[in-house]
Order: sequence, then structure tokens, then C-alpha cells
Amino acid sequence: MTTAETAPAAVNVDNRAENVLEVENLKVYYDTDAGQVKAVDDVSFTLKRGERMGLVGESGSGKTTMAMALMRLHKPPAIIAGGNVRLDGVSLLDLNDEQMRQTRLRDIALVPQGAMNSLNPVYRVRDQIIDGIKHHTPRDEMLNKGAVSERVVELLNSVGLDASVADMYPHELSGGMKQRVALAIATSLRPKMILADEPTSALDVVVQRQIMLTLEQLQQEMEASVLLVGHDMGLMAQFADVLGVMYAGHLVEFAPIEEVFRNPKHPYTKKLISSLPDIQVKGTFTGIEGLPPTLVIPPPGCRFHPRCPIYNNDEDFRDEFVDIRGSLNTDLCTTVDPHLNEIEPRRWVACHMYGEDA
Amino acid sequence: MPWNYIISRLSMFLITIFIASSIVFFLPRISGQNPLEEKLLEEAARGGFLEDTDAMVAAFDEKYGFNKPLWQQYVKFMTGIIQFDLGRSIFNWPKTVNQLLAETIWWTIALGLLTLFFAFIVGTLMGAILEWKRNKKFLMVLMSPILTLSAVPFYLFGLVLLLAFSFVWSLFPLFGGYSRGVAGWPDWSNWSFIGNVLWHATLPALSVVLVSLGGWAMGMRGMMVTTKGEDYMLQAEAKGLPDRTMFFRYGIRNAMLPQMTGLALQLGLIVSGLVLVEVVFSYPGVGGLLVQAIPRSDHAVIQGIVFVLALGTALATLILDLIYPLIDARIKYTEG
Repeated sequence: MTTAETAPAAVNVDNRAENVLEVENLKVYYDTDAGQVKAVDDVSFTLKRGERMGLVGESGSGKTTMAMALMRLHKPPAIIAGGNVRLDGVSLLDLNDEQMRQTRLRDIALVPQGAMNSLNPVYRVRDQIIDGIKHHTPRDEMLNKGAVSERVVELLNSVGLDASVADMYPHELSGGMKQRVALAIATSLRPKMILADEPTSALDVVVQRQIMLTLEQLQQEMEASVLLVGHDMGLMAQFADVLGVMYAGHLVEFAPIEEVFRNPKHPYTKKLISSLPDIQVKGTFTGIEGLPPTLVIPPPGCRFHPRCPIYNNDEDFRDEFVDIRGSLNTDLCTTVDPHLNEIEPRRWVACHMYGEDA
Repeated sequence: MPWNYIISRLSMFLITIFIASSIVFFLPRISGQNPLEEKLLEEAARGGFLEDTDAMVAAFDEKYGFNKPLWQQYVKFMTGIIQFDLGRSIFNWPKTVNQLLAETIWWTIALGLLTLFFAFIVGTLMGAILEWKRNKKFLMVLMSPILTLSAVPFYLFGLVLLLAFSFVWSLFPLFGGYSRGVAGWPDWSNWSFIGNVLWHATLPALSVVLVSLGGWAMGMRGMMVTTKGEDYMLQAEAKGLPDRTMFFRYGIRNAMLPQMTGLALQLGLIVSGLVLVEVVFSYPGVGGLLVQAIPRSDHAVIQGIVFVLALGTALATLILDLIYPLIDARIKYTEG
């Protein structure tokens, strides 16, 4: 099986230095009474140092489940059923709980979804920034009080907040300010990797832009990699270097962002992008018909085939993929689940139009 | 300093006390019984010869002011309240209500405070751990009898304890606050006396603690479920905080806030909650006094005790109001 594990190694011999995050065949399942829900099934990708990756998908496509599993923050009934996650060469799934605790924040930090409630209401901002630092620093190396205070101010300034915010309680802050505090906490130990799970979902567009610019600035300054989870394609276009598209627990496309927008390879990505409004064209929006499938009993073969415009010979899609759609054996669509293959350098797609595999 | 807040809370406190005292004054008078007649009837029942009862009642009425218009009695009573002079008991003549309270209330407060705080701390911790570490099997096993007990009234469980440990097995005394008939007792500087007091207090305390444990534990467990699902909990874990820190500073610290309200309200109910327990164990507290006073219409004593109960509740609420902003910054020291 050709997946992420072999491809980057061929490009770069010094695997450890180049790739910060390597996800291999990650499987995250929910054990429910109705059966096993394969929320994340066989997902592989790599993320280079300093690279910004976007991860999009419909609600329930497994993107947040996967993001949480990367930090081992998934909660029962979710279980990691297989695969591997390597952060800077360290296999996270092999760490014991204490080692994993140390890794969080220090090496991989989370900027939470909806920062509205992500701060503890009973403590001042200062204490919430400090406690993360404190629990990752050996006692004899811990900065003295004055130095810690300076560090807090430094962090607050780095996210565009005034030093006075340190002595405030979360309920005294606006949504944007809270998200900035969350950014300050996430970057307090200069992690190698920042995981941002819809960090701007509850904010208006102006604040959204400010937060994303701040995140970008911090990320560049620290040379950290970012995994931005969301469903806002516009936000992704502005922020990400590479984009992963998830559908029903699978990663169906993974490529540099310009390539995805200019020439999407997977029919789902194609539909996703054509559903975006165009400022120059007046007309009605087209969506993607149907709903994402249940993951308890996913559709046989390709999970997208019931909604796929190519498989269903959709009229509006007659002109798409004309040069290769003839080679598609539609029997495969209903029988074989396509693997993510590298069809061109750095272009990964899981679709039978680009060759058969088993 | 938030003076406005303190003044507004203090005035609320005073208004509460005023209303409570008024109710306390009128309530025993609704019964229409005359305490002096009751007293004299009791004397008569003992076989004493009473000549011209009516004249005696009239004489005492004059002395106590029962023959004056109600509003005058009310004014006199309220003036007394302000000076914390609760009048004289009729049945325990010539003791004042203040003296009677001074003899009994410390027994009740000590027993009540100790059992309340013990049950609060242990119950709250149990509830918190029960939710935090779902795999603690021994706690689950422990919870079922504790929950069953929480449906039983204090005094009933007290009776069971009394029957088992005092009557059948004679491990604990049958009644009282300390052994009677020892020369020089009560003597609070004597360790064997203090030991004796604790020995007497064990069963009453146990009946209260075991029964109230379940309530605290269930309340805390429910709050902990909610708190565990909060976003800041996930964030705390993502911040790589140790389990201990998350449990105490994120879990308990937030889940405890409603428990604190419960604690303050229970503080006010200490005395009334113990009345029947004290009766069952013949404990020398306020409860016994109250139970004696009610059937005899000993107005002054009933008024005094109920007034102290109201004072306790109001005081507890006042203290809670004043410290709540310190434990939860979202509640501000503002008018309201």
C-alpha cells in the first residue's frame, strides 16, 4: 500500500527534520450500541515543519475526531483502533499517560473550538497562562515570580492584548479576547505543532481575520506547523499551504492549496469548490445533494459513490474530468473502497478514476 | 471597598430579622392558650392545692404584661429583641430565656457544625471522585447503602443506632450529653470529661452524618458531570495539566459553587435539623428545650429559640453573600 510513510522519505532523506507530523493509517472508532462507527478510517498524511495544513469536511466527516485523537484527547467511546501518529519522530501512541501529558502544550498545543468557555471561569487569565508553563517546567528550573509575570505580559503582547488582561477574569473578556488568550496559552511553550480546531467559529469576520493573522504571525515566528480544522473554504484559501479533504472518515484528497482550488482531482472536492459563491458570476448556488452517509454501515465501495456526480452521470458534471472519466470502471465504485494514492507529486487522491487499486 | 454592597446586604439581613421576629411574636399567640393557665393546671395536676386560680392568673398576667393590648406586648418584645433580651421562661422560672439558651445552644451548635462540615467535606469529595474516576468500584459499592440511608429521617436512623449499639450491644450510652453523677463534672478542662462527651456524641453525630452524606455526594456528582463536559476541561487537558490539578482546580473548584450555597443554607438549619435527633438521644441541646416548651405554650422560650433559628439562617445567608464574590468572580459586589 502506498501511503504517506514511503512517499516523503523518497523526497527527503532526513525524515525526522522535515516532517513534524506523520499520520499513518490512523483509525478512530466509536464503540456504540448500534455498532462500531468508523469515524476516522485509515487516514494518512504528513505535515512539514512550518507548514500550514487545512482540514475540511462536512460535519460528521471525522475531522474533529481525528484532531482530538492526534493529541490523544479523544474520549470514550472513541478509541484509536489502529495506525500511528509521529510527532517529530516520536510515536505518540506509544507514550505513557505522563509522557503524553508532558508532550501536550510543550510540543503540540490546542487552540480550542469556541474559546467562549475554554477558560476556567474562576481564575484570572494570568494564572491560566502560568499553570500550563508551571506543569511543564521542572521545579528547579521554574522562573521566579517576576520573570513569570514578564513572560505572561510578553505572551499577551504577542497576541495583541494589553498587559492588564492578565489580571482579568474570563467573563470580563470579549470573545475575540478570549480566543487571543487561548492563542497565548497555546504558544506559551513554543510548540512544534499547533492544532486549531475551528478557532474562529463563534467570531464575526473582522475578529476572525485578526485572529487568523495573529495565528499566522506567531506560527511563522516560531516555525511551528499548524493543522487548521474547519469547513470555511475561504478561510482555508487564505491561511493554508496544503489542504486535506475528509469525507465520511476518509481523507479523499490532500494537496497544496492552490492546486486544490485550481484543479481539484476528487469529485467531492470539485463539488465543494463549485459550491462556493463567485463574486463575478451571478446565479444560484449549487450544493452537494444528499447527506453524508452513516458510518455504522458505510456504503459499499467508495463511500462517496451515492452522491458522486461522475458515478451518477450528473448532467451538470458532463464536462468535468472528460479525459479520464471514460476509464472509470463504475463497478469498482460500488465494490472497492479506493485508497489514497499519490497520482502526481504531492497530489494525493482517493478515487477510482485515477487508477485501480485494491 | 464595595461598601454599597455590604450595606445593602446588611439591610436585607436586618429586614429579615425584623420580619422573622414579628412572625415569632404572633405565631405562638395564635394558639390562644395562656401559658400561665397551662402552668397552673400542671401544678394542679400534680396534686397541689390551688386556691383562686383566676386571681393568680390575673396577677401573673399583670406581671408578664399578658393583659396589655397586643401591640404594647409587641413593642415590648421588639424592644427586648434589640437588646437581645428574650424575656423569662414561665416553666423554668426564674431562669431567663438567655440563660436557658446559653446552657443548651453550644451543645447543638457544636454537634451541628461538626456533623455538617464532616458530612459536607466527605460527601462532596466522594461525589467528585465518584464521577472523576468512574472505575473506583469500592465507592460504587459504598454509595448504595449511603443513598438508601439518605432517604431515611435522621431521628429514625438514630433510633436504629440507639437500639443496636446502646441497647443491644451497650457500646454507647443510651442518653445524655455526658455521664451524670460524676463529681466536678461538667469540667471542660478535664480530658476524661471531654472524652466522655465525645463518647456520648458519637451516635447522634453518626446518625446525622451517615444520613446526610448521600445528599452531598449526589449533588456534587451531578455538578461534576456538568463540569467535566465544559470546554475548559478539555482545554485543561490539552494544556497538559496533571490529573490532580484538573480534579481540584478545574473540577472541584467549579462544581463546588452550588454546593457552597447548599452549605450556607444548611448552616442556618443546624438547630432545627437536630431537634428530633436531640429528643431521641436526650441530648442537652436546644431541641429538647423547644420540645418541652411547645406543648406548654412557654411563649418566651419558643420565641427565643425560633428567633435564634431565624438569626442563624439570616446570618449564614449574609456570610454567604459576602464571601461568594471571593470564590466566584462572576458574582460581583454590586447592588442587588
